[in-house]
Amino acid sequence: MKKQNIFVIRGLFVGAVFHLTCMVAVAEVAVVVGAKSTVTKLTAEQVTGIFMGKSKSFPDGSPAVAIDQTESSPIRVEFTSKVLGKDEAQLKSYWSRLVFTGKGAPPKEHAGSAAVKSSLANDPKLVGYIEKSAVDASVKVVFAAP
Amino acid sequence: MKNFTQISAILTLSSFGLTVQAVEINDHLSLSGFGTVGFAHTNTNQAEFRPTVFPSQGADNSGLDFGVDSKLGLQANARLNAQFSSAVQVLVQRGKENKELPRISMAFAQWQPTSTLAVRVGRLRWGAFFATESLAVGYSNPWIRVPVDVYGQVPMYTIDGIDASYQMNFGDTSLTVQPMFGTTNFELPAPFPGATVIDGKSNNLRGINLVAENGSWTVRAGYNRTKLTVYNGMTLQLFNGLRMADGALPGTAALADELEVNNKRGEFMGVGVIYNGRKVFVQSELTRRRTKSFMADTTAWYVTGGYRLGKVMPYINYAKLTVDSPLRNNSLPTTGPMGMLGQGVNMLLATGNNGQQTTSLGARYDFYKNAAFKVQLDHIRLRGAGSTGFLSNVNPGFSDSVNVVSAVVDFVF
Repeated sequence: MKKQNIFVIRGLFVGAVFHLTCMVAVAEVAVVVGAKSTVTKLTAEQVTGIFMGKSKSFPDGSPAVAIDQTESSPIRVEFTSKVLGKDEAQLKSYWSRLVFTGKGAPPKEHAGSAAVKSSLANDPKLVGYIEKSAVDASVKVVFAAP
Repeated sequence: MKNFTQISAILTLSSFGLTVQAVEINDHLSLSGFGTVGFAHTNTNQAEFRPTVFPSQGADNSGLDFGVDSKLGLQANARLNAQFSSAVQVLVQRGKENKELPRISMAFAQWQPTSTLAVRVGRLRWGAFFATESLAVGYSNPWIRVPVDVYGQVPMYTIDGIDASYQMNFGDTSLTVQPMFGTTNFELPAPFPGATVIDGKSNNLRGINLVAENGSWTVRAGYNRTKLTVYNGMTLQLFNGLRMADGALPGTAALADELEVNNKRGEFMGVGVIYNGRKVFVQSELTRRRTKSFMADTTAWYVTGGYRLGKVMPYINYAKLTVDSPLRNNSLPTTGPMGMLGQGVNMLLATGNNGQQTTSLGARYDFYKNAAFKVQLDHIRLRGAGSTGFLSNVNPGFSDSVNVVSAVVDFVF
């Protein structure tokens, strides 16, 4: 009985460590637009501005709309931390202030990089992020997180 | 009260099960909400602690008061198309007469002709200071509640009117200009036992907020001017008395005109800064209230500092309100046949005796993806002779400090 408990604990521990490694070893983030978009390059500050609703246009003046990935997904955690420089709770707190004062809404969530890519292909206003490994001919990388 | 706490507790628990973003009914309609469940407790039965000037009842040393900070807000957002949208928000919290009555805390129609301009008409959250608009959204604030020493200066949180928000970008800095125009009514609890509730109206409210954001920095400046009317049965009687006494005591009619808040100019202004970095959090504001009436002129400020250790952010806050105008009138006799008038005027001026300072120590723990647990200790000291600060039901002569301990869970869904 006792032995079993130890196994369970060890199992949990291994699981947790594995989970942690997954988080650390997450794929690099590529900020992308549709292949037909005229935008070629964005700075980290410009990406942050658009994703946090502080800027509504690309540097060339054309309208920009950010699209997000599902909350707590590894790619979103990575993007939020590396590009926006925040953790998920900070970002949620930021958006809750805007939502409940009627001043804005967070970017629309998409379930996975494939969904992001298919939205981008249809609308040149959109900008999203995907794993670097998911980049293909349908999208253009405008910023890559270091 | 008990029911309300239970309902919020159930909602808190059930909100953990929900996907955290707003519930999308369809492409055009979404529902979301926010709330706080928690208690406050103090070390005295000589005065009661309250988070705003609205409830007359507050926390004391008898048990845990779940009504001080608990609240629930529900919001529906409807989006017609890219240009037109609307939102309605209902908020339940302890208000006047200490009842938890649902109120419409926001209801507007919005027109966005361009991506950088939004015009809203209806009931809007009014932004006197940095956090006035989001004052009820505990989850969006670092503390359990906004510092009452500062935010207690202005008893208005919504306006019925119109505002616009225009966003400009200068390099990586964004500047938002928000002009507002409207009107609002409010009702404050009786200032002392036996008095009647105070009716207030703010007409012709014009304000402008400027907010600049760059990276982790946000800087804000706001100025608001309004025509205030504030009265209750007692003030009307007093001003009548002063006007009738003008024959015997020349100057009392002029004094009544000077003191009465009858369409009098009121000004609220503030500057603030937030630094919200990866680890370090700093927020500070300097604010002022000016009226040409018996309502005291005040200056108030606070500084908050926090440091993030993973999901936990300990913070410290210091807030202070100073009264800048006289709280006594020395021109009228307070004894003899006309003594009542002098006493009445001084009683009236004393309602502005709100000088206080608060030192707070707390921590926020983001224990779940849409919920935060907070604990906070406040040490409140009354400043100035006879000050009652923002406490309520203060026993005569009470001048001690008050310690408050509170713990809440803030959530959004």
